[in-house]
Amino acid sequence: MTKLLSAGFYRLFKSRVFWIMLVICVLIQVLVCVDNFRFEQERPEYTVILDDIVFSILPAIGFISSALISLLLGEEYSDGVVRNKLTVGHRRSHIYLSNLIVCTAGSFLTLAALFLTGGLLGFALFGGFTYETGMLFRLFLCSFLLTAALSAIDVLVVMSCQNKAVAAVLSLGLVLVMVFVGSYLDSVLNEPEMQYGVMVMHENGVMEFEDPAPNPRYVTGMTRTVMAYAEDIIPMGQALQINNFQLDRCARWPLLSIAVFTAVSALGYAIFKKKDIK
Amino acid sequence: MDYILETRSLSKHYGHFKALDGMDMHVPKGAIYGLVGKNGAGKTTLIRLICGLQEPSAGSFTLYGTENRDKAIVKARRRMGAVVETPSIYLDMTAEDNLKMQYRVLGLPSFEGIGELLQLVGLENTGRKKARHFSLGMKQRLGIAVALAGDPDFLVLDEPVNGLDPQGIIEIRELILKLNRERQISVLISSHILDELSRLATHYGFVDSGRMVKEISAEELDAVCRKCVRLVVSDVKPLARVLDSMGIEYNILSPTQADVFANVNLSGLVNALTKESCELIAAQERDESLESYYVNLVGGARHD
Repeated sequence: MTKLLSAGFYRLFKSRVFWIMLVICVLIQVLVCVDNFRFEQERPEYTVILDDIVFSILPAIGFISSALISLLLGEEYSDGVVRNKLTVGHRRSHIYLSNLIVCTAGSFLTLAALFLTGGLLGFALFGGFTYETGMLFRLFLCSFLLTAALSAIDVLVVMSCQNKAVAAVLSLGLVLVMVFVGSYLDSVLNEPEMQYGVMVMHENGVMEFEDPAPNPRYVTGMTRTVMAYAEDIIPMGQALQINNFQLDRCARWPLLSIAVFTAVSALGYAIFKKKDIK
Repeated sequence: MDYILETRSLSKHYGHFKALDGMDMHVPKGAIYGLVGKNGAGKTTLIRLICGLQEPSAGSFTLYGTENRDKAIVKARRRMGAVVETPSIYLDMTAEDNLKMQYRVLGLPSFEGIGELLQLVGLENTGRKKARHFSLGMKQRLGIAVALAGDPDFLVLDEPVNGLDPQGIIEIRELILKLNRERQISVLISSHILDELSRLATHYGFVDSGRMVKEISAEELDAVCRKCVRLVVSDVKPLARVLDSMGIEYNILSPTQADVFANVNLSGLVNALTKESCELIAAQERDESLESYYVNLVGGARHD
């Protein structure tokens, strides 16, 4: 498999798509930093913190990773080069695994570009991190692991679909679905348990605040547990929570990301193994 | 005889459709084996199975004596190169980078030999030009170069001259002949262009409806495709009696036509036929080509 990895990384670093994605990541973070700096200058009562700068752009990694992998790996089928590897005797398991490793590494590098640019420029403009080191380490770890899970999903889609354009659309579509589902679950789980400040008008025209009452939209019990797990399992759900610094369940995110990465990769390999290559 | 590739009752089904239906094939070592068949006969499906792109539904094949279900087939495949339908090249890379990629895939220790390979296929002057800007012929030649990267001794080419201009066809033909003669590379080549194949192949396999109809060497084919005289007569029965009495080999084609496989004295024949109240209407010398042999073998409309 080392041969395939060598070829895969050679391809990655020769790929114009990869370098364009890196530049896009750097530009995005520069724009975010500049925009926040201007905001801070105009509104001195607000303080922009470095933690916000670095992690606020995390949800973008879903789209960046999806575009990178579908374009890079899509050529394996559209240009037919996966045939070269099979014809000379490489096993399908090695081909799948090497593609997975190279694509995950590519996604990691784009994420690192986002973090490094935001970290260095943000440090110069806004000062150091406010979160303590242990929490920061956990956030960075969770960010990289959710990126790995996203990469596994993208690799499954591309290696299962022999059409490069369809694979690209499916990948990006999946990311959008994950964002919408993650956002929906987040909004439901963030409903307050009690409703405060509800003003009612009596028949005599007097308006007064009602006593706090249970929020009918607040989910409890097994439903809440399932929804929380669903939000944590979906990689974009984790990304949105990190973006909003909703970190009460972050202890289990690394394990869930690893589980998603493993399960999705196993499924992807099972599909690729049986595939008739044309 | 030493066979580099043998298939035994090889079958491939896509749902209810049988693309290959019990194919038996024998490719001798050192041969240029021409696989001949119409569209949908199963040629490309066979090549895909041999190259490991798809699994057979039934049957088996051996490559260098190693069976396809054996784990050692992986090592055996290392000795082959293939161009299946379209050349497998990265369009956003140069010719040299494409070969470097394949060298890495093969785990070759250095890039030595890439220059010679590019020279062999006539792409030594492409420089920084990306493969997407190559002509079809150049892409085909780069595909062959990639297939040759591992120094294989068995090359599988699926319709390598499709879409090429006459110059391109000649270049590919010369390249294949050179590889076979100078490097003793065995070649399995499928093609529709029978005339082109007849200039190349040392052995033929005629495929129809997923089955091997006939395997024959070029020498045997030459013997079968012999010269004859086609006679058109008023009634073929008296002709048959006359030819039998002369001890001449013939083949009845229709109630009024027959092919005669000998130099016939026409005057003597006419006299003999006149005695049998039979008229000789026309006589034409014919040379059976690969095309007519193929058509006779698998059937199909004649277009004389």
